[in-house]
Amino acid sequence: MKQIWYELKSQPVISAVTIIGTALAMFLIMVVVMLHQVEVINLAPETQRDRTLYLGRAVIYPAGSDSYWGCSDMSTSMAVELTDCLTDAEIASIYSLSPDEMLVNAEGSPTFTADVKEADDGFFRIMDFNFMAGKPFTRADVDSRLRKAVITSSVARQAFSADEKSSVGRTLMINDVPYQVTGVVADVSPVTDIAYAQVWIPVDLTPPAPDGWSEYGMGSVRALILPKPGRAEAVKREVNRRLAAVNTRLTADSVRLDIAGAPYGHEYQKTDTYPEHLPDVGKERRSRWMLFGILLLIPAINLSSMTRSRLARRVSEIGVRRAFGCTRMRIVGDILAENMVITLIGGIIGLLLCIGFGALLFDAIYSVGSWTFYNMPATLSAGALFDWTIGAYALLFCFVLNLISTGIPAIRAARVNPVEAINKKK
Amino acid sequence: MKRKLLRQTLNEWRTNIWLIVEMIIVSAIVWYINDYLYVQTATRLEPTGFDASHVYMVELGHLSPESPRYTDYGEEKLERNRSDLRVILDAIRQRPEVESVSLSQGAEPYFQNFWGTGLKVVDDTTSISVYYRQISPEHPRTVGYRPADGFTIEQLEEVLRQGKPLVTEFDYGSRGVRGHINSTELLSRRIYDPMDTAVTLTIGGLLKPVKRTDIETRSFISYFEPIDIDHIGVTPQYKINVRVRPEADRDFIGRFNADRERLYRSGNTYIAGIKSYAQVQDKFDRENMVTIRKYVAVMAFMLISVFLGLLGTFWFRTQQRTSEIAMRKVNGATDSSVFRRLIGEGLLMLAIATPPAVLIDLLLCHYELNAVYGLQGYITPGRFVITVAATTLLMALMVIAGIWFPAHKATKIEPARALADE
Repeated sequence: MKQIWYELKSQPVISAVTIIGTALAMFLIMVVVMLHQVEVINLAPETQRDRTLYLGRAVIYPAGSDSYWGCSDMSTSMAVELTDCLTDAEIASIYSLSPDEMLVNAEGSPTFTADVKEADDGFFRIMDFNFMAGKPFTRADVDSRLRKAVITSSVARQAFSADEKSSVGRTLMINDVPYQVTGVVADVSPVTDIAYAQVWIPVDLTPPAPDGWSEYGMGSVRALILPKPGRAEAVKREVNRRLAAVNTRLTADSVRLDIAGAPYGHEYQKTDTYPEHLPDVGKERRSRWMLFGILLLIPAINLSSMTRSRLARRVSEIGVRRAFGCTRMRIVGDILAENMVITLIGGIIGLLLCIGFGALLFDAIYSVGSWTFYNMPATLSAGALFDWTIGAYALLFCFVLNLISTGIPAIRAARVNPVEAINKKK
Repeated sequence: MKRKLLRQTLNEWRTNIWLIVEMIIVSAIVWYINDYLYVQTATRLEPTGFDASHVYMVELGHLSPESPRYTDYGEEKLERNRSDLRVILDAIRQRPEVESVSLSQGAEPYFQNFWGTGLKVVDDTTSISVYYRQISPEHPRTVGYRPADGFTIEQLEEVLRQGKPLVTEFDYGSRGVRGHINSTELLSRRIYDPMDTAVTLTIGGLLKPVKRTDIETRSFISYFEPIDIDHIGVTPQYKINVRVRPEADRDFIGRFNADRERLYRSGNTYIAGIKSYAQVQDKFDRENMVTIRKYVAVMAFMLISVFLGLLGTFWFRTQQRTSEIAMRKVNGATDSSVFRRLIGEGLLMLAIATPPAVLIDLLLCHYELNAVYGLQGYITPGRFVITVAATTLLMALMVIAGIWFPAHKATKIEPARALADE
């Protein structure tokens, strides 16, 4: 340790360049990691992302044709038909993915806009909302089409100028229609865009005909399924059996309904931009790792040329150690360990920068998706910022960076012939 | 002198080769981003065909029958809704700040509305794919469309009042034109009404091309059908466009909202919200801006890496070469020639790195992996030269900046002291 410190101090410019270079690279890599991780890790209120199955794409093909005729979210009746009472599902839920911007107010006070999402009771059992007061609406509320609403605390404050507790039970006007507030939850960030809204109201599970954009299953809702532990595959099979039954019925109309490979897991759902087919998660992964590769390679080249120069000055020291019987492996190991300390210092600075950036400026670099506009800025909760997986990635990348930037120079240095190395000394 | 520079660069080939490899990769990446930024900038600088400054978008709302404020007009519902809309439009027109007011569907600036249709020419196989838009007569003036040569805005407004549609001007072979026709020739032909092919009609006039957004690179021809309030549906999904006099455009949204409940609610129709088109633009531009920010961040990182790499390497180099530099000074080298020599080393490396980097750039173009710019496609010679020049310039600046500090230090070497070590 002492030796490393001494090394760092003796070459302040080089040390600064090394640490700044490492910190910058780690910062950028960690921001990329963070952008991805917040989309895949379990993040409140979407705490069951890893277990949830998603579906909700309806692609309509004319019978016998490969080019589709229409593609959108699903109609309520089709979503119900495919997901209601699945044998192997714990909970299924129907909801609208994109919230509608609506005017809300307390009767008589000024209106403001809020993102309103339609959902059923199951939605609140799959999502882990932080209820500050009250409770979600129930199955009975949904079935009897009662006008109940769950709102966020910021909506409660703006509408009623009241705290969460006293907002429960009051009437919120949504586009001039009265809804009774049953619960108040903590604000939700659009980063968890399945859960996100500012007001949630019951979805109409038995809408009057015509339901959706066409009678073949296109519409505006999606579904979530929480399978019983280990029964995800069984759920997929059952949904597809039901789909086959639907398609047998649709043959009469010479059309075929396709659900784009659904139900699928969360990472597919996130890649879901133009899903006529099962989204290609592999492509996303490859391009992400290529980006990591480039972001690591450039600083690695820099660092390795500096490590080489530094080691060149220590040839005689290495020679002496070799002469006294130190193995090559040992020398390589020592050099790697020494440099790991420097890499870690840079890595920690980079990680701290990334966390600071995530806390303050995340909205500037995060887009929920094209054509999706939310009232609330994308912010990260402490849980997302300090998620252990992000730290683990940081450590992994520090290690890789160290290995590629120091490995080759270290092996080369350890190969020196002790006699020549010591002899060279002026 | 030149030969010495080359020899010296060769002597340290092992370090230099890595620096050169780094420069090649960085240069290719920086070029890719420069090219993307070029496309973005050039696209934004093109005329949009509209002028949405001082224009606001007002949204209409219709009360749901579940609302306690809903009035059931029964049989008269349609008539009543139409007259309510007229009342609201007139009330907005009467605001002193307001210059003009229009209704539109699909024709709001910045909205990427995909609604399209085909125009079929009567007695001909010619057909034209167009964006289908509905506008009220005041719309071209309100959102600042420009009339094509030979027309005036007043004239086009009158044409719309007469119930005739407009199209944006186009030439033979414009996007979506199937057949041999241009917009001037279309004026003298009859077309089938796209919404009711039993009816034929003539185009009343031409507008200059209208892009849907400022970042759209290839737009279709637009077809504007007039809106007639006497024929609209029960709950039309129109947007109201409001142009405000520039001198009166201060806190318009605040003042408008203050009067909203009192003046702009009639029967079951009300105003649901107001936004400036600048806000609308920001919203639609958001994802693009996020991409640009990410690209610029990566570019800055790459350039800083080159800077740091050269700074570190040359710092070592000048330390190792202290005696050599001292020797040269003793033999009459001036400070500036020592300085220039070191910078020259870096620039020589960049010169070696540039041709392979340009080759990679060309490959990226060849495989069409770079950004597309409108009809010009993936690349044009002019665009390539500009972006490569900008990239090389940025790289050269980083090289000079990186070597500056070590080179400056080298000039401070005192020959007597340095050589005393010998």
